Amino acid sequence: MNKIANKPLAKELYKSRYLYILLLPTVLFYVLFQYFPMYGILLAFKEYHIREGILGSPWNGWHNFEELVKQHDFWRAFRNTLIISVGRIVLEFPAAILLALLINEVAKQKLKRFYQTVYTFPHFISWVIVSGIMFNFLSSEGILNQMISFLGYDKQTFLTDPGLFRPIIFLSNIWKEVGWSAIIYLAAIAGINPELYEAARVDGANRYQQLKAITWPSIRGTAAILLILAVGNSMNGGFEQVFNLYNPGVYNTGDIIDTYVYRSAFKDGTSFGVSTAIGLFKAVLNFALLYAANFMVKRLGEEGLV
Amino acid sequence: MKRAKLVALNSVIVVLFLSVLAGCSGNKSNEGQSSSAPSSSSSSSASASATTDENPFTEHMDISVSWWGIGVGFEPHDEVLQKIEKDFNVTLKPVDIGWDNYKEKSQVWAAAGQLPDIITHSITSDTPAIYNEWVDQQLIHALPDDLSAYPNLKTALSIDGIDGIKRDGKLYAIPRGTFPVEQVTSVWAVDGAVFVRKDWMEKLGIKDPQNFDEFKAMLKAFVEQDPDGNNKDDTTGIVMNTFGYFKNVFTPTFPEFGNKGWLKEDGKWIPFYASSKMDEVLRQVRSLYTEKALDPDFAVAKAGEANQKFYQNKAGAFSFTTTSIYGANGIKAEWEKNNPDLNFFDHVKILHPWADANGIKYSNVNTPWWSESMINAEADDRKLDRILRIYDWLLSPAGKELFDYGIEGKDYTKAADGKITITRPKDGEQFIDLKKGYPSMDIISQLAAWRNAATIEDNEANRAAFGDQSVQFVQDELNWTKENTKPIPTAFEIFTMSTPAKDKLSAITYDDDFTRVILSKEDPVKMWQSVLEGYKSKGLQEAIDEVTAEMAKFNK
Repeated sequence: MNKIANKPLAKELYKSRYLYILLLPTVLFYVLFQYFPMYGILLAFKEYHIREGILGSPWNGWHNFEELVKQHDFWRAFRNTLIISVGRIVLEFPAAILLALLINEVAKQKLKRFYQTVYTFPHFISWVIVSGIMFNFLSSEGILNQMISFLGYDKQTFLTDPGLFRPIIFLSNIWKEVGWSAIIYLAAIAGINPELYEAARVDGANRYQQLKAITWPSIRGTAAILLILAVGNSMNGGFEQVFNLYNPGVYNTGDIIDTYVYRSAFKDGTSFGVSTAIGLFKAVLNFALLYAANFMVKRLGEEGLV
Repeated sequence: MKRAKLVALNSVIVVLFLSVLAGCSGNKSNEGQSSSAPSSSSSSSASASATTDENPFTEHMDISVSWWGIGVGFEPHDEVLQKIEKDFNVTLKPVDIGWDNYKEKSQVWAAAGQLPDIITHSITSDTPAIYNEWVDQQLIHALPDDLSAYPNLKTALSIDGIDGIKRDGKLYAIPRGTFPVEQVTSVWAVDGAVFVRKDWMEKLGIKDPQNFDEFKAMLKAFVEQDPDGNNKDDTTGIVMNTFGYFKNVFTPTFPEFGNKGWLKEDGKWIPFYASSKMDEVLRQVRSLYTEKALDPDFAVAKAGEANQKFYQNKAGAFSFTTTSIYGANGIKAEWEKNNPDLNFFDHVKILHPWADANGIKYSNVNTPWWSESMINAEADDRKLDRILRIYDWLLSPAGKELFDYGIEGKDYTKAADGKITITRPKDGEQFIDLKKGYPSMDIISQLAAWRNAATIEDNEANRAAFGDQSVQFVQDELNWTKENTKPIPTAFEIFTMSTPAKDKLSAITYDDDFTRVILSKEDPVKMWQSVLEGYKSKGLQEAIDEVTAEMAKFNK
């Protein structure tokens, strides 16, 4: 370790030059599209004038944040974001692991591939389309309501019921993304040494015992990393999905920070400054959560990200 | 060899990197230049246009223009569009906006410095705060003080209430007039209409409702008594094109609710939503919703989506506008498409409003304009001149002739005495709809002014386009409203009034809040009280005080 650290940087760079060249496009991408636009954060402390641009607009200190905390709707969105994010981690996150484990247990290769394709496919449909499909299923004249009324019960208003919005969000996201998220676990499972299973079978372990003693411990590290990432992403409640599925009737349970920012910046008001302040607030919180999750995972004996 | 490869690879990467950076900075400097362009070029070009009067159209120009659904309308590049482009030596670049997102889109473009040359928006009508901001930040061009070069435009800009949108004596928008001023009551009177299935009413033995309860009972009967006789629970009561049209149903309960106006209560001018009369409206709409007389999907359907339910015999009543029976995509055509061999007028009629407690029947009335065209501040004076010339022509008698009759020599002939003979092909009894042959017509004809008044005229062009029966239907409605109704009492000056606190009211999300209250299960009146509390924190009380003070100046 020390030896490397003591070498001149230039020499070290030259030695691993091919690796650095391979890395360069990615670094460039992040600098240009992630770090460079960050100067927009300045808007959170400015009164934005369109003509003067981001750098030219006058500073206004903490004013935007003061405006923010006064807004009742912001706190509602904040609460909803937290609840939906926790729900996603508790309900959606394990679903992918479960599916990967189940698919792995399918004995026939062809059938395995078939299931994997079927479950992965919905990932490629955009939320705009999915929301249209769901409208056809869940509207007052939708298939579900037709079945309900055929059975002699009262029709339900699934799409405007605030109590049903979150379950619908979770279920539809699981339907759409579970196959895609399972791929990474399936890859991890594919990397397990088959000799371990052979040895287990010789020892008389049944399939459940194999799963418990070999498969799960082998993918636990992957799961931990993904969990950290998921927690770090938790202040993003899934804008695309919520935006396409919500309506004023379910704002109380469904309006998340991102949709609130969108409406307040582009539809209702004129303040880009306050919207940026919300975005910054969110980012800081995400960062803190990411760190907390990383810490927790390390404490539980897995490898963290940093 | 290896080294050579490495050098090559490195240099490629460096070049790529530099070109990306150059791309970014290049844009920047362009922006800087173009934003300063209007001021630097204005003086020279103004003098140029003043001196070279002969042919103002020698220079070819690209003019971008935004409009709802313009992409589809301009795509075939039909002869009407070609004519305008040729006559004015321009290429019109369509910039699409949609009814559901045009406000957001324009805000994004404004922030990104990408507004089109001709901006279609509704900020003078809906959000004066944004209009003020755009004027302050010089995003839009002031119109010249002297409009004598554009006589038709000058007349159009002398409408009532125009002073309300002048800033420092200058006009920054061309309001899209709804009708010629003298026709104020008649055009709006037929704007909001409730179509109803009269065959269903007859079948169920229902007479025209004379109050809200009878109206609700009728809608409930449509839902529960299987009016189409298919033994299925698949019909709903009333659907709407947009919520705006549905408001008219409640004018007998609360007239100002019908046009979102302000009213004087206890000596103060207040917006309709702050009035105690809202309570009854809320109770009524809620009861329609909970008793399923109102389309249960009204809050989730996009604009125009629910129309299909009426066309496909799944709804008994439908809120829209009277003139929507016209045209290839109008109610009549769509309904008959779904019900072949049936005549629309045998099965559908318009349900007239019932009288309020004082025996008065109200008809709709609204602002002299809704929405406007604005010209991007980055357009130089020559471009501004060209655009204004186009607008002047659109408002001229020659323009009207094109929109009414099509292209001379192809669709009609004109005798020396001015008599017009329509020669375009027929589809059955009727001449084919001009808009079918010229999809751009719908857009171009409405760029400078809504042509609502044109469609309600009883003239040869309309009878040719829409058929005698439809034109007569609209005329009958016009006459009925003229004889039986009064326009909603309306303080027009407040619509365009701009005061600091009133402008901030644009941040109020009234439509969303109203919908939320209707969909909820809690007491609507109590919920509305808490909504109003929220509005007070956004400056409702200050706005009321400011508007009351302003109105006092007019002795109102």
